[in-house]
Amino acid sequence: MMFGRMLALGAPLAALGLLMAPWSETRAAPEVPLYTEGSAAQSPWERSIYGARWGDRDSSAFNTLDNTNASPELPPIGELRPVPAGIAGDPEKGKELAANRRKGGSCLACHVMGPAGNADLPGNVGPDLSEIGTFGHDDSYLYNYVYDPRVFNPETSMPPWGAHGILTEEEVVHIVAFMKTLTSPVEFSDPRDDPETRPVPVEDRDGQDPLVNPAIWTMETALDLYEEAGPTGKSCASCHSPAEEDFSTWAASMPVWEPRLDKVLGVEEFVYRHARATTGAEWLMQSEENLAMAMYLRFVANGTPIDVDTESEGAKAAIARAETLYHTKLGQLNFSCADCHEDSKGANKWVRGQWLGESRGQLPHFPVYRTSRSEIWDIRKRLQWCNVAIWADELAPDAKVYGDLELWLSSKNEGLPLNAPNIRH
Amino acid sequence: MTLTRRDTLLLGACATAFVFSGRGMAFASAELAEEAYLEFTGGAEPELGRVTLDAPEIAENGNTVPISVSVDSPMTADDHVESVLIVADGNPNPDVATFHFTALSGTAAATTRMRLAKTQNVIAVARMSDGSVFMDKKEIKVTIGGCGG
Repeated sequence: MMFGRMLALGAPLAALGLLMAPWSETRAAPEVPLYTEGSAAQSPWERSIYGARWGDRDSSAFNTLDNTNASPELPPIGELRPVPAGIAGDPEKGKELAANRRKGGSCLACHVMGPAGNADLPGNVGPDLSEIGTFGHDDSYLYNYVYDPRVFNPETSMPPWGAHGILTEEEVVHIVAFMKTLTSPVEFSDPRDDPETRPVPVEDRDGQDPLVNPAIWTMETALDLYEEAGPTGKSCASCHSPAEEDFSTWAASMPVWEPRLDKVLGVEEFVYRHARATTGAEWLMQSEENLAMAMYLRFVANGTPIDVDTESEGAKAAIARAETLYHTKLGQLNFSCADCHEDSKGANKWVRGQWLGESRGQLPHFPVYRTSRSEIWDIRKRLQWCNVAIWADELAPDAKVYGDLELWLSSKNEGLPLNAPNIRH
Repeated sequence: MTLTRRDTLLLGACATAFVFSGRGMAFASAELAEEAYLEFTGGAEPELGRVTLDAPEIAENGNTVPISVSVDSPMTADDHVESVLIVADGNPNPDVATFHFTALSGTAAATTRMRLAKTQNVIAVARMSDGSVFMDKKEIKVTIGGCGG
């Protein structure tokens, strides 16, 4: 289907290419034309694209990527809050709260909680609490550990459920009452239920098979766009040979520090700014056109090992900023990237039935088709969604911090071959 | 006539639509699923074997669970697979898809994607040209996501 078309399109373009200077020569020129004004994405950025369920949450009182001082301050270590008097803890209510996914994903997302806690696919980011009721902890210890565990361990990955307003004081009291009933280990009838024996997911689908991955069909759009004249009367093909020739490795060298914009440009933003400056087309980031073109430019470079510039001054500074952000707690759930994706913390563990991956090994297959959303996501949308999932306000996809993080991620994925687009749940 | 992969996908889509139409009904039970395949086999209890159902042990997304089914058969005019029925015993309606084959199909194999409402058994039953029936059964765990709403 599309590969036939690619060949048909490729022949005349290849002939055209012979008459023109190859793009790789012009690439050495100091200034690639870039439109340097305004936002490369929908502006102002509106969260409504994620739907009311996510968009209605007000996370403004908590850290975001561009304001890491918004969250309430860390409590002093050892300063315990008194357990509220006059509330009788109800273990049944606590059991319901511990499994309530609306309350930050539920305790079971990270903890095995014995037979009473529900043995259906609990996670193992945190310790097994099946016998916490036999450990001799008093109410004050348990209450404070749930309310704000940072009074015991400021480095903990566990959210400050009470201090960040996810659970009320009363709810914490009920959860404590439930924890005190946990006295026996769970016997898993199926090894898939036990996070210690659950098989790690293996993605072996052929992401570039159009019958497997619907994202491949979108590249038909890119083939049309490549030769479609923009407002200036020029198309990509006016200056470039077929993408298979001119861009056979380019995407693996992206993102790149761009001094004219004082930020890191990924393929998506580069496509917008370069097209706007040359053909006049306005392919805003995350538009259908931008996704199609960005995906296609990676597809033609598939197999090329990621090799980005990390040595220039701008790149070094961007990576250093990202390194700091990677360890910065964000959002109402108070997670840093490292909390979920560092091997010594949450990575390579289960958060309920989902496997948490490391920062190396994910980037090369972006953009991906997400079967759970029926959408194509570029890497910036993946990063935005991480913000949404930890209850932090995401920024526009062209935000400078996402560029920093994308460059840092690329350096972490150095040497891995591009394999895009792919498909994930 | 051979079912191409494209036809298979279409079939899968139709099957999904069918399952949707059953919304609001009580969830199917093992009995309903059994009823469905016994109707297909004409009442004969299928024997385990010859059918291979390839499905993930854990489905990270119940919306599109990829499954493949193949049947060990010489696929000759005298001895071939006529039909393969797929049922799921925890969906609102157990019926998922039926694939038809002839000797000219060459192999009795099909791939599709299906929707699973929750952790449940998926059962593939093959009816041979001589009337004998075989099956395979897999329990697929549908995961509960970690990052709640």
